[in-house]
Amino acid sequence: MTVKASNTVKVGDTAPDFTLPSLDGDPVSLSDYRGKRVALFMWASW
Amino acid sequence: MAMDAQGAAKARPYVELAHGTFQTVVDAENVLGGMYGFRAIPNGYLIDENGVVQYEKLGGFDIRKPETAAIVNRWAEGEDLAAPQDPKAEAKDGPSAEAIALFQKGLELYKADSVDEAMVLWRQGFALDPDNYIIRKQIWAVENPDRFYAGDVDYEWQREQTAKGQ
Repeated sequence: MTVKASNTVKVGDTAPDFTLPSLDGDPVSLSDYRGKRVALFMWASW
Repeated sequence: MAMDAQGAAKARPYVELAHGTFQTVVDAENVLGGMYGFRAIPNGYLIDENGVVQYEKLGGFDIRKPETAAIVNRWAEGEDLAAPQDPKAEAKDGPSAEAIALFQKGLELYKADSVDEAMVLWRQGFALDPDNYIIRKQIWAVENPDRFYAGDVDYEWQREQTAKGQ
């Protein structure tokens, strides 16, 4: 039984906004960068 | 965007190693997995001035690879990338929202030092959505820190775990 998540972002979609903490704990939002080009990478130590 | 459930303490050494001048944020709760619809990393999204996604690569977007770095450099220099849609993003089944919810509940227990209870919920999440490697690898990293944080990450060991269905 798998509940489907409704969102799968595709090319041409508006990137969903989010706010997450920086390494120092300060909140950072994607929308802070509106008007600039953004390169988002998702990675992890594992 | 570090997807480490164990947070900034685990992510920071890698940013320092890379001499990163970019903004790094920590998504310990895997919020973005559900929001953007991915189960594994490394991923890349290139977003234009209006907030519209112009390029997307799910899996294998390792900035250490020359082809990945070239795409990002072209983007930074203002080039328009006529990128085809990543077929993985066309697949309709995103990650299980229920599995992510279990992961997030488990993380609260983990942060309260109830590691065994956290592991029960994380394993339930893994069972619901075995292809969710954000959950799966986080279980590995907590249970087997020597495979992750004592020198290089042991990817051969990870392949063995995957083959065994662990």
